[in-house]
Amino acid sequence: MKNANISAALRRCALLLPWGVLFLFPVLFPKSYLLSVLIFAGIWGIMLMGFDVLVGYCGQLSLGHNAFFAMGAYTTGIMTVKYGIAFPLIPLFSGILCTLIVAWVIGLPALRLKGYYLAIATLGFGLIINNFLVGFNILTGGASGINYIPPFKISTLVSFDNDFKFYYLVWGIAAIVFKISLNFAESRYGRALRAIHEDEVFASTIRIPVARYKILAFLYSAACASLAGSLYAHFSGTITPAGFGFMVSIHMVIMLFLGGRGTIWGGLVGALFLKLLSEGLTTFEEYELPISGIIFILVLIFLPQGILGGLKDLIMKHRSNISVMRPSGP
Amino acid sequence: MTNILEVQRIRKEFDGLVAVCDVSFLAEEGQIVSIIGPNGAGKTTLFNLITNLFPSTSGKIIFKNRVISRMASHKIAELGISRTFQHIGLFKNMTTLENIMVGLHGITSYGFISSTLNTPWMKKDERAIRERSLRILEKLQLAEKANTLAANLSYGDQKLLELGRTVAINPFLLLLDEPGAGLNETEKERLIQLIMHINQEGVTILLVEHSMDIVMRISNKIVVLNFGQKIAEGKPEEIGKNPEVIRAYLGDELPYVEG
Repeated sequence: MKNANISAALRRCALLLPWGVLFLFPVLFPKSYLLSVLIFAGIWGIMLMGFDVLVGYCGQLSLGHNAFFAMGAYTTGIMTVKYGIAFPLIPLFSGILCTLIVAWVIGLPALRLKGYYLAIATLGFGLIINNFLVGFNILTGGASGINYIPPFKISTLVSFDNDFKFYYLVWGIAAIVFKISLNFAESRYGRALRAIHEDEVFASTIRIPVARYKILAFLYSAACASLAGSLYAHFSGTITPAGFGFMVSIHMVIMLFLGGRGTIWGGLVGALFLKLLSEGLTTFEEYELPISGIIFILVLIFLPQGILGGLKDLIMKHRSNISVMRPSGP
Repeated sequence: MTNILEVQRIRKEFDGLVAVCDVSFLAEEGQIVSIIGPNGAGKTTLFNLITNLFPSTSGKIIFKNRVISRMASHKIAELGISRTFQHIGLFKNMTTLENIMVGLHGITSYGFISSTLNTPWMKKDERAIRERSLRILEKLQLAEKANTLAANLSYGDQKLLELGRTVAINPFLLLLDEPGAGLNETEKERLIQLIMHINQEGVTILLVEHSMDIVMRISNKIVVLNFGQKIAEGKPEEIGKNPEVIRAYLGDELPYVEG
């Protein structure tokens, strides 16, 4: 019993360690150029943790989440620049609200589709929204997008106007989204989503309202993407339709599968891994794409459950070896 | 005795092929009603119609005086109809314990907000459901396999776990789709005891089963289907003597003497 307590405490420490490293990093290296890389990784991480609830847990693949990312970013961009609303929380929450409404309207019919069909339908939706951003230039600024989006500034005292401060804003929000997503995933809802993932018919016969829960997962992931979009707009200051294309959705899928789907952690790991990798590979410039492609293929061949899934298997194997060596109790 | 389930002229066509043809029967509260018939007779289709996994072409199903033939599956389950599947309706990538816990989903009540914030309310609910699930596993003698993936359980244990999960939510009506398939004699005996035990607790049971010794031993009533049509209905001893039934099972070409 005592041993179990110690190992539980150890496990908690091991889980907190990466967060400790992330939160100490700017203090130790306040001038590092890696800060901005990690900020982008954090923004992607926020989006991916929501995406994991939809894809990893509920098993519904969407290729249209670039649209929700764009909606968050453009709501922030339009409201701050065109309408001069300086208080950043108003555009942020308006963005989430708009996204939820659109996601509900899209999700209601789309989530009746299964597998490839859902992926294709959402892909189409993503393309339509992207075209809309280019075409509707009175509001969106067309192909040149929106410039001079102000930094995230709540008051003169609480202002996230440099990399150092924005880093803590993004990773603070990421930590909150992480905790919320993990709680959700380990609740009765998470179990129900996994059941839907495995078999919708079985799930419906044990009193799980399948359609409603699929929508719930879809809305949650869309809200996370919108939140990430708003932060992205504040941080980069400039948004163009090119930054919210189809490739955003593809990258989301790649990062999630790299990190390990169905773990919540996986989204964060995948985002950090891919962002740091592409940063590390910039020295090779023209070889960056093929090298990252090869790494992706290798990971999927040898760790089909992603980096985190592979790690989990390794620990499980280790543990079962120990229990074989030392049988516990009579 | 009151009728718990009334099936009235239910019909299902798949692209013109009639799978279930205007079948009617009653199940009284506390009965064990068996549905038998050769392969392809429409037994499982009938179960799928009762749980509305697909809509019926015509006809009506009434459960406890409520028409359920157009209700969503999860609503029907909420009314107290629980079922097992021929190919085992377990979630194979979830553990034994999680399979029971997800089965109790409908009786947990904490909401979405509560689940994201890990409120004391949620913790209390989760603890209660975990303890209740563990007690069920103990009853099923599967407690030491609580953390085993359902996929890694033996076939017999999987069938037992699925049955345990359907009973866990205290249904009024239990639909069992070939619970005896693939079981050896000892396991079959255990199954018979289990079904009779569940029935004695007041659960009405609808049974699809090929193993005639199980059917004959425990049924109050037998409904015989052939090519989607009901050809006989009655007590086990009557069904055993019914010439129509014998013909359906053994075929026409056998010479048999009328009367």
